[in-house]
Amino acid sequence: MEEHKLIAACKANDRLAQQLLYNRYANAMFTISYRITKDKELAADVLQEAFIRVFHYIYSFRGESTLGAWIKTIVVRSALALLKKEKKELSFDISEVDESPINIHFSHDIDYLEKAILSLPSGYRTVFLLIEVEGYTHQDVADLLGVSVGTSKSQLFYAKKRLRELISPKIE
Amino acid sequence: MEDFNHLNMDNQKYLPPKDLWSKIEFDLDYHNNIKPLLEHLPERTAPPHIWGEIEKNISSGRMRLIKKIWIFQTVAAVALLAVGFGLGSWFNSDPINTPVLSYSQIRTNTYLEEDQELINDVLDEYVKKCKYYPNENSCSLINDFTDLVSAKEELENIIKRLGNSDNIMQQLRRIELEKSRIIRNMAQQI
Repeated sequence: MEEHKLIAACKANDRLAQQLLYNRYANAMFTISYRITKDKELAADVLQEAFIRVFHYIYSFRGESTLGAWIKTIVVRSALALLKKEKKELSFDISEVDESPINIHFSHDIDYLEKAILSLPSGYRTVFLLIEVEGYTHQDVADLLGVSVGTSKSQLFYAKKRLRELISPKIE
Repeated sequence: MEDFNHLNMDNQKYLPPKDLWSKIEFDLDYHNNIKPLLEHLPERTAPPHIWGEIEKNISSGRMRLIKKIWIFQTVAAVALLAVGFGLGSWFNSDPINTPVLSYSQIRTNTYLEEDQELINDVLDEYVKKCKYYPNENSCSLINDFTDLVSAKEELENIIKRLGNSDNIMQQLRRIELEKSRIIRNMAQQI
């Protein structure tokens, strides 16, 4: 089903269309929420909360962005809200960077890269994921996280630096 | 020579930071080695039970919406009924309809009023008697009756212009009663 038809059907509360939309985006959105929360149960809660919001507020979707981008923002906001509720707010403390080596077997292994990303402190990880993986701008991140653009830039720099440190020995 | 040295001194200010190359190298390294891999990060599979939970919640959300719509429709219907009754009352209070209502209340007062012909006969007879046997008291009844007829006409004009009220209706009733009393007196004196 074409996306605009799917949206129209969801706006009309068509249950099959809602399920189709969920199936189309569920894995991608679960992945984002898992990377932010680093907890599968929390990520599942985020996904549930976010999609309920999606279906409640889809009437207000005007197509100013893609549907995926709109849902993604709801997922990110839900993840951040849930972390706050669980008193697991994002940490921007450089001292919390995990210096312990990561046990890897293959230098360019994608799983290893994900492991390295997940080892970053929550604040660094979230900024890195939102900008480098999800394509948000520093201004978007500043708005989402309630931090300054400068903070977003510095967090990204430290996140990249730490990733390079983790990966470089294996690249060589 | 001095000038050249001076230029050299100025150029010192525009030397790049010492760590710039390392930053560029770091950036290149990141873009060459890490950035391309980010697109291939593994995707997780959402737990299968989540859709069921979502479905339950959006159903109850829909019920809440239906309930809200029902409440809104009920309130709107009550408001429309209230407006309808208000307009109905307003149209019923139209001055044109009022005299009919007031007249129907008065008709049952005396048998004389029920029969306009009889009233006219009494009046004619009384006027003749007054004419041929002038008597101060008798003539005063004619004047009283004429005054009451004028008063009634005046009240009916007021009702046409401003609408009726309880006070005006009471006055009309009193006038009719008084007219009846005068007609009865006239009939007794014929």
